[in-house]
Amino acid sequence: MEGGTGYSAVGPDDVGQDMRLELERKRLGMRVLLETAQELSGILQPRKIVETFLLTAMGPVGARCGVAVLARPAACEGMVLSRGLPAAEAEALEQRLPEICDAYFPYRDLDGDFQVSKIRAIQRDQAGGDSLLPRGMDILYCFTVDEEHCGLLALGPLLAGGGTALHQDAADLLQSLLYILMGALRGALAVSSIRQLSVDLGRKNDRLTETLAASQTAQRRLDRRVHQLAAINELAGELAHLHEVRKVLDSFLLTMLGAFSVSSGLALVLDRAGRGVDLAIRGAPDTGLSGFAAADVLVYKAFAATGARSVAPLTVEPVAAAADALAGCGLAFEPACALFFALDREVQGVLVLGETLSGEALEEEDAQMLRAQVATLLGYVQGARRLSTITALNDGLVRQNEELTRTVAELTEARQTIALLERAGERVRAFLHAEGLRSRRFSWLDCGVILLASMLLGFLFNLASPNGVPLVPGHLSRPPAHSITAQKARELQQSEGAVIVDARPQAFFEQRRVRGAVSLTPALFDMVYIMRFAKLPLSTPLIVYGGNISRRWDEDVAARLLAREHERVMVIDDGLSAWVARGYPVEP
Amino acid sequence: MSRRVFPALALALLLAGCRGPVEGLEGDYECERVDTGPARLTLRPDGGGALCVGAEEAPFRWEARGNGVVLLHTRQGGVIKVRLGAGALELDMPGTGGMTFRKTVK
Amino acid sequence: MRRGLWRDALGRWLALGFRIYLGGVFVYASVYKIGYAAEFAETIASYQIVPALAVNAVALALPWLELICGAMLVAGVRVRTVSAILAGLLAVFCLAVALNLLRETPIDCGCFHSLEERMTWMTVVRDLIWLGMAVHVFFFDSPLALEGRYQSKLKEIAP
Repeated sequence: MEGGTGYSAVGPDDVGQDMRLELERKRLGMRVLLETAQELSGILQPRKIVETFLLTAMGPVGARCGVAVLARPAACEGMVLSRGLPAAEAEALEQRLPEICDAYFPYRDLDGDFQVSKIRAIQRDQAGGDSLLPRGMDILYCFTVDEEHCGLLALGPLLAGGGTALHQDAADLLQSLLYILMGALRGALAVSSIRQLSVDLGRKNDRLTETLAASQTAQRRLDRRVHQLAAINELAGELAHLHEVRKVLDSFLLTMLGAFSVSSGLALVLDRAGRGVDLAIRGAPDTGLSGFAAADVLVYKAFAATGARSVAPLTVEPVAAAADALAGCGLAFEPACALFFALDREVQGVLVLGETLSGEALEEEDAQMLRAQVATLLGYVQGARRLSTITALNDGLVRQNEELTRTVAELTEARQTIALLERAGERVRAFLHAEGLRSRRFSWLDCGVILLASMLLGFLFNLASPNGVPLVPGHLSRPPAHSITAQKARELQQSEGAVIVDARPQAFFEQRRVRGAVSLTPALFDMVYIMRFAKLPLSTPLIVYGGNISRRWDEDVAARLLAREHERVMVIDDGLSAWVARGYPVEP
Repeated sequence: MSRRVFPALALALLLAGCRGPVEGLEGDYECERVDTGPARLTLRPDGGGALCVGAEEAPFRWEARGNGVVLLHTRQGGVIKVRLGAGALELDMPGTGGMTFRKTVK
Repeated sequence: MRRGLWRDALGRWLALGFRIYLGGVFVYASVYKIGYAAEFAETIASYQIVPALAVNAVALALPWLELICGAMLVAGVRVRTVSAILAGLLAVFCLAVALNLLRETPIDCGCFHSLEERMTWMTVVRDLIWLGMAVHVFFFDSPLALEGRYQSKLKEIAP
């Protein structure tokens, strides 16, 4: 590479020569440009580009020394590269970068914008920074790479001629080179800025990853909270249908255990006035806490551990250090969290939860939530208690109503009975009145009744009496005895000495009798017979008489005589009257 | 008052007709009449009694009335009046005349 | 006033006396007959009025009729009916006694006991007096009647 040594006025003979030289120079220039472009194209680091360029540019121009500066005037940083300068000077030059920036890149004086792709050739004396650059470096070019980067190229004393002015061709070449440099620098700067961006991007990506992890954690928490809230929401729906304190507690406890992932727990409501305990226990056996005394101790210890001085209605207080505070209360599990709550002065309760499934303690938010839920529970418990009270009252009312209905029915029945009795009484009274009136009158009915009663009594008494008489006279049921006429009787009396027996009663006998007759009435038959007839021969004819419409004494006596085996017993037809009618003797 | 008086009066009248046997009359009596043969009269304390002649026996009920009279009632409706006199019973048997029964001493 | 008293004495109080006397007589008369029905049957047979078939039945029923009527008369129950029955009985007795007196039947009255005195016309008179008493009782209300007290009680209950 030869410098621009041939630039001088020539004659017309030399026109062809000149033209050739001219062409040669141009070709040379073009080659320099091409080579430079080729060299710079593969390099990515701006420093290396600037170094290579400086080396490449000094040749064609024919400069002995060269300085190239690439800076960011806004930040007063950049690089200073030199060639052909002593090391100390080069180092001192590097130290003077800010001053160079101030002197050669007076961007502040301008509108604030660099003119992109602008190359300015600066006269040495025009610049303020003469002292900044070494002597002899009169060829100064300022250029802007992009909006931020500016560059300065200073080339020192030329080899040819030792002048400082540059040939026009060389200047053009230099400018073209500068353009190539600028292009290369732009590319390199873009690459580096892309790299920087990539690094930044990577960093941001890391940050994003971190943020994502954090957000996932937050998401998990949110999920848990949502789960809890959903469970609690369901609980609210469920509790709204429960009317018993025990069931409310059980449902609540189950939901709390699920929501906070606790394996065992206990909810207890103590009614001191009613001495009643409602207990729900999950994940552990009941160790006698359903008894009033044990439950009372548990609730009292929980209350004491809250640190509250008095029981305020509808309050929930966390129990501090639940494990220690509730020790010795007979809990079947290790209490991790406990809450004391009070509905009023008489009704209090406690919620005790055991360890969580993960073994971690409940977070503060969880504890707050639990407390809020227990506060909600109070409302349900109170509602259930009031409902039970109302139900009890209602039942009482229903019972009273039933009793009232029954009483009314009974009263109605009683009234009907009374009316019936009154009617009956009226009838009885009327009957008695009629009877009373009748008693004052003669009554055939009474006559009949009295007669009937007399007959009945008489016959019954006769049946029962040992001295009863037969209802029908005996002679009617017997065959009549052998009867004879009075005449025949008289004959028998006279011929055979027949005994004539008077069967009539004694008075009749004494009044009038057949002469020689003997009295033998049926009434005294046995006595008289054994005294007087017992010794009489059985063959003696016995003629009996005496009878009337009321009694056949003769037949009776004849039957008795026959019964005593007298062979000849006879009865006189018509008795004494027939005898008298015949004119036979009588006495007295 | 009269409500109690009337039944009491009726009861008194009813009881007036019921007189039991007089004590001291019970026992065995004997009669030593020749024509009829020896007869024995028994008055039991329960109001029963019997007249025995030989193997024959005639039962009766007896009843002491006032004025030393004892009535013997037969089952067939006969009545025999007996008078008490000097420790003996005088029996007025129709057709046989008076019979005197003396109490047998044991 | 005095006439009222007399009327009262001759009416109600005399009726009371008759009632108790007559009732007592009939109750007394019935007791022996109930105890010795066979003897009473013999007595009835002696009267020769009642047919043979009915003698024992009458002997069984009549004493009880006398007893019931006598007791009711003393107590003052159905006084009119009872006095009418007794008056009827007495009338029959009078007729029976009179008939047998006319027949000269030698029998006892049999009114109270067996072995009484013979019946006479005095028996008929006595029976007629008793009949008169029965008629008096029939026509006059008497005090101290069980039914009377019962009536007054009834009036107290039902004004």
